[in-house]
Amino acid sequence: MNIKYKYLFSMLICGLALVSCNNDITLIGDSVTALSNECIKRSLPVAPNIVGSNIEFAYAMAIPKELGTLKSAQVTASIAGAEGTYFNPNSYNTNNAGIDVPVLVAAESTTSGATTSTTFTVDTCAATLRYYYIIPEEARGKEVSFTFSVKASNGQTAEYKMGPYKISKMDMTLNQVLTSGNKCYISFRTDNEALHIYSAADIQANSSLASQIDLVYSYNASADLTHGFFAANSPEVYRPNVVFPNGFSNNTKILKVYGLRDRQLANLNYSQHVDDLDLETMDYTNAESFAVKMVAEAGLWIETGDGKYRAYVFINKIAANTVTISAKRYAL
Amino acid sequence: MNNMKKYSIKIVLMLICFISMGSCGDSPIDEDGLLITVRNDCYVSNFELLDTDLQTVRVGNSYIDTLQQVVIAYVRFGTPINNLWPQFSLCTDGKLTPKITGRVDFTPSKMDVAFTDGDWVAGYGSEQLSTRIIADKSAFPKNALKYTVISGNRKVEKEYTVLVVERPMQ
Repeated sequence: MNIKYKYLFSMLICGLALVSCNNDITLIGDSVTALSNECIKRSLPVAPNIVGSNIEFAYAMAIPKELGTLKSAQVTASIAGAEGTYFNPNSYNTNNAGIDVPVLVAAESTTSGATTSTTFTVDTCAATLRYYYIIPEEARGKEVSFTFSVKASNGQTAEYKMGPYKISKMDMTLNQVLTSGNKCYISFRTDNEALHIYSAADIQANSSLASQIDLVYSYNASADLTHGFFAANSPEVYRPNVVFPNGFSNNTKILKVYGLRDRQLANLNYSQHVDDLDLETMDYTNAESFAVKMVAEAGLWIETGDGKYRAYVFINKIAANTVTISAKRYAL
Repeated sequence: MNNMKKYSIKIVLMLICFISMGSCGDSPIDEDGLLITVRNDCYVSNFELLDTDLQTVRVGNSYIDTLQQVVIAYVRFGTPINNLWPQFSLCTDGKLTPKITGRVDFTPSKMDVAFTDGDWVAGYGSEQLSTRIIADKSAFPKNALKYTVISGNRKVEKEYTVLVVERPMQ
């Protein structure tokens, strides 16, 4: 027995002596020998790209220090961006606290046609510039692609393609405040605006506007009614004391929902998005002509009486006699 | 070792005997794949109505008279009732027919009632109102929606009439 144990023990000692960790540093991937670049899209990845808002990119460029420095960067979009498209001249890096720190490395960017470019004003061998593309009206319903490129002092260039990104056909309007009895006439028919609110004075000055109105908002102190939205054919009994302007005749279709907190309309941290497809495929066959007792974070799916426009309206805030709404509108 | 063999053979044979005796009884399944049991209770215990925003439109519990087989749902003033989702809570093992496969139009079930004092207490429909409505079956809307509850043993069927009454504006 003794011999057996001693034998096992000595084998164990030998085994342990042979095991050890490898402390050499090894590279993951090949070492960098030339100018290289990479790009990511920083704006909301799944939200619809709406005309007038922007698509944000972070474009990273680097060259080994011994080979040279970065000279210039540019991006060409397949559809020229609207006024305000630019390269942020600061390079951002994230510090230990997780905060993005800007460092000025480039000159103000210049845009000619579909190309935005900037030159580096300091000697740097690595930088990440942010590019903001303002979505133009020409891109509505189409796709946009981008080609980023960088030039270094030693003549090397590198290119990175991004896209294509589908641009939504929708319009979006945020945070419109309505006041019962005064600024309470909602129209979905204005160009480039999802919603337009007319006041009582507007209607008095121009009575033909009444035909543009799709919904009338009214607040009633009764706990059963509170904040209500009415189409022309809504039952009178549910809208006591609400005055419809002469000529208001649109039989708008309404479907009430609760808790659909679209990320762009609500600006709350829920990842829900109303997209073109939702409005294209919405079924309004059993829709109503009115919606009462609306609360904050409730919503309305709308189809205008003539079937030309569909919209999703989100209730941001409510208070006595007033409501704040935001909407996305889709032209069929 | 020989002793062990003798005993284990006996034990195995006994086990086989017991297993063959204790088989599962008949488990009848009806045409919907639901189990048919021995229960003969047949009633609706709760009735819910949801609007398109999935919020309830009732005020208080629905009044259910199991003897007269009537369900009265009291709804808030301003409720559109042509696109509601009804939800029946039934007795254990019960089944409902016709099946609810989507939203239902309850306009034929809407009943206009002349209210008197004491009908609405703290915003809820009172016993007085419910019993008065049920007492006069001839005043029920002609095409009020009817749903039949079937008991667990599939032998008892009770047809319930659903009425919707709108509370006056508060």
